[in-house]
Order: sequence, then structure tokens, then C-alpha cells
Amino acid sequence: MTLTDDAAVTELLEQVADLSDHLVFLQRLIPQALALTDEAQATALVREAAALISTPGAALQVGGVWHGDTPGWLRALERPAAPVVLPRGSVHTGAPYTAAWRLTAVLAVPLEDGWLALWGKREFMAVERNLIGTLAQLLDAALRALRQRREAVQYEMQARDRQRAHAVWRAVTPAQLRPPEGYHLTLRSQPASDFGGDFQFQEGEWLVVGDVSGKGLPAAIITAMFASAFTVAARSSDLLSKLSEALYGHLEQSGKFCTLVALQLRPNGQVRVMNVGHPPVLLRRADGTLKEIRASAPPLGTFPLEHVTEELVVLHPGDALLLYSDGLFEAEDARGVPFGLDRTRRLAAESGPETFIERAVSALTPYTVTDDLTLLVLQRDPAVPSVQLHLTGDLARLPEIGAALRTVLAEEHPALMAAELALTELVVNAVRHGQARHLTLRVHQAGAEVLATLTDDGQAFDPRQVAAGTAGELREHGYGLLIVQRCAREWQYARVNHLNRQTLSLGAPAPLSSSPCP
Amino acid sequence: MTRPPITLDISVQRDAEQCCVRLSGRLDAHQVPAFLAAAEPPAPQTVLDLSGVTFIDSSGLAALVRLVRAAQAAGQHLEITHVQDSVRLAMEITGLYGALPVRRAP
Repeated sequence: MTLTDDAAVTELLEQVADLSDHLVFLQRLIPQALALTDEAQATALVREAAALISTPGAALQVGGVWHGDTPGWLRALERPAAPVVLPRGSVHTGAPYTAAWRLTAVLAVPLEDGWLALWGKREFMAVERNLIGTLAQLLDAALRALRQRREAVQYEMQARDRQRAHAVWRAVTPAQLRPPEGYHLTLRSQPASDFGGDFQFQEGEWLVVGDVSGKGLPAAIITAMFASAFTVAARSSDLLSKLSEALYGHLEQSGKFCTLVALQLRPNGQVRVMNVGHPPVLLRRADGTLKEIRASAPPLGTFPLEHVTEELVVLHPGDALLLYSDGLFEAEDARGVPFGLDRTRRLAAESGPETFIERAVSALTPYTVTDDLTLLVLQRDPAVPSVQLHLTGDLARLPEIGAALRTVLAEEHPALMAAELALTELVVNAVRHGQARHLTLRVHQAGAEVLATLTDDGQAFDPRQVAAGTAGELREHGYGLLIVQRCAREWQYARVNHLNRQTLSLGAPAPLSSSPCP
Repeated sequence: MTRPPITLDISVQRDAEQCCVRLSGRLDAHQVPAFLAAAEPPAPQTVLDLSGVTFIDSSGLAALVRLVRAAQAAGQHLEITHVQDSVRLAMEITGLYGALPVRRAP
């Protein structure tokens, strides 16, 4: 055996030993690669492989990010399309990369989402290239699995986040509201996704129903801001100004706006209605007649809120307010024809307050609702005794006023005498001075008071504008309005559809303040 | 529950010195013209007994004021007696309870 032979055998043995080392390395690599939890561990495996093939430089790039020691010249290299050895001298590692100056070959192997590079040797043998090629395949599988695990975790976190956010949103805009004292309340709140832009809040006598433009999370964030501003604003009688003050800037900055209806519901049936850009509120009287309360101001966030005309209505037992969001009338059928406001009105007139929501939902069956859908019915408790009296211009029928009052009030009710007195004055007034020939009186008891609505077809006349005579003066006229003023806790007048409508809250009159006794 | 009477009954007892007018029923805008038409010429002493009046409105009050003023102008004496709760309420609201010659309950 020659020396050359010996050398050849030695080299062969070394190669076999190297292969054996490679095999051991690969065996160890597989479980490690499978358990990979981050890119740093992948880089460590690349470094280990580099040590095994006795080359000092190793780096890994994943998703455009370098891991390990990465000299500047390496960063300037492109990811190779296939495994390649850049022979020594072909890679410029000189100035400005003087610190890395070395005459070296570079082994570059692409990965699915990056590449790895080894350097620091004059050349890379075929077995070494094979080893690194196998390593690259393993890393690819491991990094892919890592990516998928991360995505799954992220998706799960997002799903859990959404679930939690939905729970928070639902707590902020509850699917159930408590019926205000003296009213029946039915609500259907159906968001288009996990979060809605429709909302409803309740605090004390206040109830607010609204719709933030847009859907999903952005609308829900504004809704949550509304909820917190509302709690504070509801302590003020000027709720809308407070809301606008708190939210206008945020709405404007986020390019959003909001429509809403604010209701202040008093247990006796008196309701303040403020409609800010919302679809018309339908006031449905117990006899099925419908009145619309339209928006009196543009949506919040479009123009600074200056003045909202509020409508004061009295809900007698059985009367109801019907509220709905655009999700109802903008729902479209298969041909793209919207449900429409006319159909909404018809539905409201035809179905009683008890069945409105149920019938609306069933009428929507052939329609696609793409927006949040909110339906709310507030009905004045129909069990409260009430009476309706039709009168003509015949004053011989005046005793019927007292008789009607006595059907809903006990003889000893503190407001009975005052109510009969005041209503008689108003009827006589309407007949004598307004030439009214058809008068309707609706009355119900509200605690110690009596709530009355008198409509008449006489000439337009607001009796509140007339100065009442002085009390205690001996004269032969001018006591009527004095009586009404002293019996009425509240007295409103409106001219609606060619009718005078007065609503009064009547109670036992307070004793005269210091009468001019000698 | 009894329906209030829908008419006004007027009964008069008088002699040379005294006149007692007893009203019962409603003294409202519908009844006042009949009441004033039936009003007796004044006597030196007139008692207006309202014990049977269940309801009075501003027209009824104005009619009472008219009678009281007429008596005052003629230098005669007129007194209103037996004012019921609902009538008293109407008088109090308008400040007439103290201004009219009402005999107070003892």
C-alpha cells in the first residue's frame, strides 16, 4: 500500500466518519425541527450544521428578516432560486465590508419563505451541499408548521377577542330593556354581525334608540362611547346637548354620524320625543290612527347640534310609540325592491302594538336584511282605566264630562272636581269662542292627577296665550282661564290637522297665595 | 254612583222683607241664562241657598257676581249660604270665596 493509497484511505475513512456524523446530526435534527417554536431555534440548527461541516459563517433569513450574524455584504445578496455555491472570489466581501473580508465560497440554499447561507470555507463538498439541502427541506417543513401553528393561535385569539368584544357590546347595548313604569316594552335587537351600529340605552326616565353609521367594530366603538356619555347626559334635562358636546368631535374626526331618538317617558303617559335624523317615530293611538314624529334635526356628527324641536305627546292607555331602524325598510327582496316606509306604516296601522314586531319579522321573511335591525314598541299600559268622550256644540251635554270622569276616577279622587271644572271651561270656550262642533276628550288617571287630551274642530286658538283675569276681583267674566291655569300642572297646545289639541295634567289646585284680604 | 242632576231647580220663598232662593242642580254655562232670566227682583234681604248646587263653572260664578253687584247697587243685602265643596273649590280658585258675601260654615 502506497503512501498515496494510505492518504486516499484516510480521506475515505474521514468522509465515512463525516457521513456518519451527518447521519447522527440529521437523526437528532428531525425531532428538534418538529418541535421548533421560533426562528432563533432554526438559526441554532443552521449554526450546528455549519460547525459540523467546519465553516464559521451561518445565517438564516425568514420572512425578509435575518437571524444570526449577518455581515453587510450578505444582506446585499439576493435570495437564490435554487441551491447554489458561489465560488470564492465571486462574492465581493471587501470594502465597505472590510471587517468581513475573507476569500470565501458561499453556499446559498432557498427556503419557501427565505434562504440560508453558509460561508467561511474555500469550497463546499457535495456531501456538505447534500447535508445542507436536507437541512433546508427539514427547516421548510418545520417553519411551515410553525407558521400554521402561529396562524391558528392568532385566529383563535382573534375569535376569542371577538367573542369577548361581542359580550361587552351586548352588555353596552342590551337585547332586553326594562319596561319604564306605566309602559309595556317590546324590543328586538338583531345586529348584522357580532357587533351592531344600532343601539339602545336606558337610564331613569330616558330611553335612547339610535344608529351609528357603518357596521362592525368601528361602529361598535362609537356606540360604546355613546353609552358612557349617555349615562352622564341622562342626568340632565338637556340630554341631547350633553351628548352632542361629548361626541361631536369624535364623530367628526372618525367621519361617522349618528341618528337617534331620545324619549323621556313619565309614568303618567307624558313623553318628550326628540328625533335627530332618525326614521320617523310612529305614534299609534289606541284606535289605530297613526301620527309620524319626524326628525327635527340632522344626524349627530353632520352639523353642530343647535336646536332640536321636541315633541310633547301624551300616551293614553293603549297608545304606543313604534320605533325601527333602517334595517327594516331598507331590507330588499330578491328583485332588489326595498321593504319601504309605506309598508312599515301600513304594518303599524294594521297590527296592534302587541303584534307589530312579530308581524314585521314575519313580513321580512322574503327579504334580505343586510343591516342591523332594531324594532321597539312602547305601549302605555292599556290596563290603566281611561275614557273617551265625543261631544258636539250642544252645551246641554256638559254634565257628561263629569259623568265620564267618574267612570275612571273615584268620587273622592283629589283631582276629580278640579278636572271637571277645568275641562268644562275648555269645552265651553271651544264651543262659544271657537265654534267647535266636534270635540273629543280622552282622560286617564295618573296618580293624584288626571291626564286629559281635548281635541276640537274650532278655529285655531291657543287659550294659553290669553291673559287670565285677576283672582278675587268681582267681575262678570274672565274666570274660566283662571280656573284652568290653577288646575293645570301642565298645559300644552298644538294645532294638528286643522284641529286644536290641548293636553293637560290636572290636579287639585294649590291654595291661593296671599290673597288680598284686608 | 249617581249621575249629577242635569237641570237647575229654582225655588223661591219670599215675603215683604225677605227672599230665600234655593238652587239645586248645576249652575253651568248651559243653565246660567235660564237662572238669570228667573232671577227675582231684589228684596231688602235675600238669601241665596246653594245647598243643592253640585257644580258651578265660571259662567255660574259670573252670574252670582252679577246678582251681588245688582243688590249692592240697590242698597240691599244678599247673602250666599250652604256652599258645597265643589262650589267652594271654584270660588276659592278664583279668589271669590273671600270676595263674595258667603256665609261661612260655623
